[in-house]
Order: sequence, then structure tokens, then C-alpha cells
Amino acid sequence: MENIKINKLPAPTYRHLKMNFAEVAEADYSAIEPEIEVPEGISLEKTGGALDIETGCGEEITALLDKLGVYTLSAAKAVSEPARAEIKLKEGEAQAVRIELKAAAGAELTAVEFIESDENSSGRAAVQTVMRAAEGAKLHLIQIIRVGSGFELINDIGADEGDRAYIEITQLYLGGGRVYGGLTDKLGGYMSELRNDIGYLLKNEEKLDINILASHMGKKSNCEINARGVLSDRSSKIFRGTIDFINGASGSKGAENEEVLLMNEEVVNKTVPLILCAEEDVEGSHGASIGRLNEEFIFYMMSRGLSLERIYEIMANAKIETVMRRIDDKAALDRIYGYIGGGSEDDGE
Amino acid sequence: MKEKTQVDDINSSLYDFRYEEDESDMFESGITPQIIEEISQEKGDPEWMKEFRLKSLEIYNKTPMVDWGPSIEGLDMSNIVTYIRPKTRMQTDWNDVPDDIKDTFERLGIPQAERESLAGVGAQYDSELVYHNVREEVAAQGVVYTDLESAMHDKRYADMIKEHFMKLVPPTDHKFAALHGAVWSGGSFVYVPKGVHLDIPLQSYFRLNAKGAGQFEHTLIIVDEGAYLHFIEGCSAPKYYVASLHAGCVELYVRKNATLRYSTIENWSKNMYNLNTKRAIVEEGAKVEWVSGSFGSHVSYLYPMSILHGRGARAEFTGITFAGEGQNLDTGAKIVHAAPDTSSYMNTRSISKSGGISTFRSSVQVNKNAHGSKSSVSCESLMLDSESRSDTIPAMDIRTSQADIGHEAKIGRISDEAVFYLMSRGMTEENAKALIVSGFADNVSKELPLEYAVEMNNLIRIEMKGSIG
Repeated sequence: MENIKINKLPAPTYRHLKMNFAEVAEADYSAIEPEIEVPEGISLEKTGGALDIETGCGEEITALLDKLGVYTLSAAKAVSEPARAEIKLKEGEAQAVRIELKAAAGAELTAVEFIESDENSSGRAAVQTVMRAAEGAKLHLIQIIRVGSGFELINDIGADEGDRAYIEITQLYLGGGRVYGGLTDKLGGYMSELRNDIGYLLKNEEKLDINILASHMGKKSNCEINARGVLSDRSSKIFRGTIDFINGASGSKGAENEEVLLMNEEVVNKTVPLILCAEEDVEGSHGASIGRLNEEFIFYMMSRGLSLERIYEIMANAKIETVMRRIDDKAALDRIYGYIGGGSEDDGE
Repeated sequence: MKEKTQVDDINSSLYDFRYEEDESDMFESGITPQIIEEISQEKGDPEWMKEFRLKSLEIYNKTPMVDWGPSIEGLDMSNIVTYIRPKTRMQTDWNDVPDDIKDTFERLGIPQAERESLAGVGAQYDSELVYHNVREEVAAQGVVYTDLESAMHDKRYADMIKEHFMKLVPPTDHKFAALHGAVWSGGSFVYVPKGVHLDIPLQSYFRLNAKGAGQFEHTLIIVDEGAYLHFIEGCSAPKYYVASLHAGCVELYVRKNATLRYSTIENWSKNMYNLNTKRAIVEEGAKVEWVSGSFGSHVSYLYPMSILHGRGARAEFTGITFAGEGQNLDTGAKIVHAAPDTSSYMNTRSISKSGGISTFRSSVQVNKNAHGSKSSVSCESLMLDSESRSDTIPAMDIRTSQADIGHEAKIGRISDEAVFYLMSRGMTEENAKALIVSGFADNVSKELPLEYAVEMNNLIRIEMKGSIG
């Protein structure tokens, strides 16, 4: 089978850096059944066909997934209890799930996706989530991703926002051989807003490839993208984050921030944070801080009796816990603590 | 009705004058082995250079066109004249330079600058250097400043040229590096011996007068151990309605503990495709400082690159880009940290107006062995209207944990809060905005020698009219 290009940088740069896109082998994905639990107030139905939305991983993966059914979760009013989708990936198969989250005008919906497989399993999978927030609606997607060291996972999201809509996406990448994450959010509505928090812990030979595009089309739209993570062993990561101010999106603001802690000499960290701007009346910013722990900080912590290994462990978990603050679902938090250690019964030193 | 604040385009009228070329001096347009051989013969190349040119042409023909960055579809290489025979041999006295060429450089203020503030001057007109001179006291220190062709034919420097020419920027680097290797002509060779500190700068000025032509000068500078040099490069051309091409190449060798400051004020006409390549290799404890002002050209691809090759090597890049109507200026810098304890600092400003497109593009690469390296990148862009465009495309590739990398970028318009503050201190709104735009460019102008800072401030002439809409 041929390769397809995913996670394309919206404005490509120097070829030799090999950051403009990622390539994966084309696959004939078959649908798997997620276990979806919905609280009262959220409807669930299975539909099919093209979802007609741009996603972060792009049109080539969408073309492969369009034949599969879609699980659509809809909220017509504010629902405080989250919906939960357990996506258990199986050994060996090229498998995929498509989920659509819809919040009607003024409605609120929170969904938690657990995307998991056995720790040492291998295989290929794609999860595509589409988010549609109508006027004044709020959608919060929480994803906890932890797949086997031999897995290739494509985690693709497309979002669309109406006036005054708010979308929040909280993602924790806690393991996986080769994981590709994509998000395109069309901030089309007046005062629409996106908040995306990403946390990751990479180890061994794991590779994480992320592509985020916040497309500001509506006036006074707002986005905040925060990525925090730790690379250890021989892991590698590329983060592409783009804030695109389309002409007419006056009064919009976008901010992007990345913090990366590098814990081993063999890691590879690539970052390409773009701001594209065709509108005068906007404010865009990005910042990145990449490197090791500050020596003075290490000295202070060691003087308090902590080993270097323990200091790095604490700081790595601190990156994740900063992202976890955006999650108020106990089941989700317990799952994360189950993976990284700690939690309410284990937070003392 | 209120009138909106106006910030003028760069005023290029100073540079927009021309003299007719004698067409018999112009080589046939396009790039063929025959043309390359004619250029080589005309210049009396040694055999190795002739072979180098022909090999570069082969690479050019095989290398694909760039597929990122601004469109260069308007550049038809078959219409570009790559070599124009000079009207004069290179002179060391302005009085011996033909009148029309002398008049050109006098209007650009080059002889006056030489008298007042420079240690040496080289002036290139179309394809060849027409004037080169260096002060006696500077030459007496062993400083070599001459045109590259003379150096290549001088047995004292011939081996040095062969050893260094297009080794930092090989023809395989990209399509226009290959083109340069095939058709290069003119440019300067500078050697500053060990420990020599040149207190006043050297300057080369490049003028492309001919219509539909290319300029392909090659600048090769070697600053030996512990030495210091400030080199200034200026360039301009009159405006035509057909595409012109500048595909020069700059190679800088900065030896142990040496410092080289390389300043450029680029003001090509708005029909120019400026596809220039600049690269420095910086050895242990040495430093390269790039100061770059990009104001002209229709399209620019310009990213000076610093390879920090020795322990403790440093690079600084300070740049400003002003993109006005019809301009698409893609500028920035590249840094490679290839040794321990190296550091780099990039600080840029860009301004877009009247439909101009300004892109800041950079890369910072930190290799596995570059333990203890530090890099800081800061870029700010100012949008003066919504017809224009401003993009920031920085890339970082970090391959050691023992590094500290910081990056920040901002895009926006003139801050209402800053205007309000200045007005609360008694300034009018238009003066407040003028001051803010001028201050925005200040980080670059303060890095230039005074007379060039004044020239730059003149280039960014700000005209405020009425109150603010």
C-alpha cells in the first residue's frame, strides 16, 4: 500500500528539517465498537457518511475513514455529567472509530475518550472525533491515550464553532509506539473560543507527532493552546501549532505556549509554532521553553534530600498534573493516576 | 471625517535612476553550457573553476525549484541575462571610473562614505567590480580586500580561494546556489590576519543597472584568529517592469576567538527576485553578528545561516523587514549549534503595509554534541492594515537534553494602550503612533553605524497626517 501524508503544516518550511508533514502507510480500516456510556440529557445514535469538516490530520486520512459509521452524541441542554467512550484497541488490526459530539445552542456537553490497548500490543488504529458547538454552546473533550509500544495511532479531531461557542480539548498522551494527533478548529463564530491543553510523557522509542490549527474566522475569537511534556530515553516528538488569523477576524486573540522537559541525551524534540496573520486588529503570540531542569532548582531540591531521579519524576508528573487541572471527572483522573502513579491516596512525600 | 494615520512605503526614489546599457556587452539570456563557457572564458577562469561552473550547471538542471515560500513563478530564467561585460577594468581611483558609473555611485553616496567612515570600499556595477580600494594603513596591517577574481589569479591567495570557495554553500545546497556556482561574477575577498582589529568598517556596494539581468556576486571573508571586522554590504537597483534576479552568495569563516559583524542594507528595486544565500562558520570562542535591513525586492528569500562549529561560538542576528505594496519578503535566519557551550540570539522586527507580505522564517538546530548550548529567538511583527499579511514560521530541532532554548513571537498592531500612555504624557495621537513605529525599528537602527542608521530611518519615512481614524 502507498503512504499518505497527514499532519501537514499549513505553511510549509525548509524541506531538510522534515517537519512539513508526517507519512503513514495507507490502511483499510475496519470499524470497532466503542463502549459508550451517556448520561441523561445526551442522546446517542449511530449514523454514517462523510462528516464534511476539516481535521488536523487532514483529508487523506478522512478519505479512508468516511466509509465507517459515526457515533453521534448530542446535547440539547447543559449536561454536567460527562459521557464516556471506552475505545479498546485490539492487537494487529487496522481499526477505527468515528465519534461526533454535538452541542445545540446554549447546550453543554463533556465527553471523555479512553483510547487504550494492552501495554505491549501492536497494531494500527485511527480515532476521529468531530466537535460541533452551536451558538453559545460548550463542548469539552477529554482524551486519555495510552496504547501499546507497537501501536500506530492516528487521533484526529475537527471542530467547528458558532457565535460565542466554547470548545475545550484536554489531551493526555501517556504512551504509544507512534502516535499522531491532529486538530483543526474553525473558530467561525463571533467570540468563539478554543482552549487546548496537551500533556505527554514519552519514553523508550515512542514518537508523538502533533498538528494543531486554530483558524480564526469570527470576530473577537480567542484561542489558547498549551502543550507540556517530557521526553525521556530515545523518544521523539514534533509539535506543529498554528494560529491562523483570517482576514476579517478583527479583535481576535491567540496564544500558544509550549514547555518541554528533555531528560535524556538521545531524545529528539521538534517544534514549529506558526502564526499566520491576514488581519491587522489581532494579537497573536507564541512562546516555547525547551530544555533541562534549572541547575539551581536541582541543587535546591537535592539539598532537601531528594535524589536526582526523584526530582525528574516529580517534575515530569507536574507537567501532566498541570494539564489534569482541566479535568474534573474522577473516573478520568483515577485512570490517569493509575498510569502515572500518585493520586488522592498517594500524594504525600 | 477623521483621517487614518499614514505610514509611507519605503521611499526608493533615491535609487531609481539608470543608464542605458550597450546591448553588445550583454550576454545572451538563459543558462546553457555555451553561456557558462563564454563567461568562464571572458573571465579567464582557471581550469578548476571552469569545471566547477559546468558541474554546478548540471546540478542546477537536476535540482527542483523550491516548493515552500513565496511564489517565484514570475521569474523566467530563460529571460535573465547572467553576465554583462564591464565597460571598464577594475579601478583604484574614482577618477578613472567611467562617468556614468561614477555618477551612479556618487548619487548613492559611496565615495563620500569612503572618505568619511570606511577603511575600504568595493563597488560592483552589474557583473563586475569597477572600483576597489583599501586605505594604506589598513593594507599595511596585512588586511586583504580585493575582488574575488583578482584574488583567484593571485598566487598569494589562489589556494585559499580554491580551499574555501563554495565549501560552506555547496552548489548542491539548493537550486539557486547551483545557479550561483555556474554563473557567479564579481564580489569581494577579505582576509583579516590574526589579531588585527579593524576599528572602521569595510563596505561593498552592489548596483544592478541593466534591465532583465541577474547579479551573482560572491563574497568570501576569512577573519583569522582573534581578529575583528565589520563588513557592510549595500545593494540597490533602478526599477524596471521585467524581473531581475539577485542570487549572490556570502561565505564567512570566523576563526577562533575572532568576531565578524556583517551588516546589510538591502534596497533592491521592486522588480527584483532576491534569492541570496549567506552562511558563516564560527569556530571556538568566535562570534558572528548579522545586522540585516530588508526593504527592497519584489520577492526575497533571505536567511543568513550561522554554523556554530567550535566550543563557545556565538551568533547574533538582528533584522528588520519592511514589506510594502507588491512585496513578498520571506526573511529570517538559521542557526546550527554544532559544538558545546554555543549560544545564539535572534531578534527581529517586521512591518507589513499596503498589501505587503512579510514572513519571518527561522530554524534553530541543536545537535547531539552541543551540550550546554543556549538559544533565544524573539520576533515581533506589526500589521499596519488588513490588506497586508504577516506570518511567523520558526522551527526548532533539539537533539540534546543539555540545552536551554527559548522562543517568543508576537504579531499585532500599534497598541492602543501605548498610544494612550504617550498621549497622557502630552503627545498628539499621530506623534505617539509615529514614535511607536519608529521605536519598533529601533533595535536594528541602533546596531548600525550612525550614517547607516540615519539612512535606514530615512527609508522608513513616517508621515503622519491628521488625527486617527
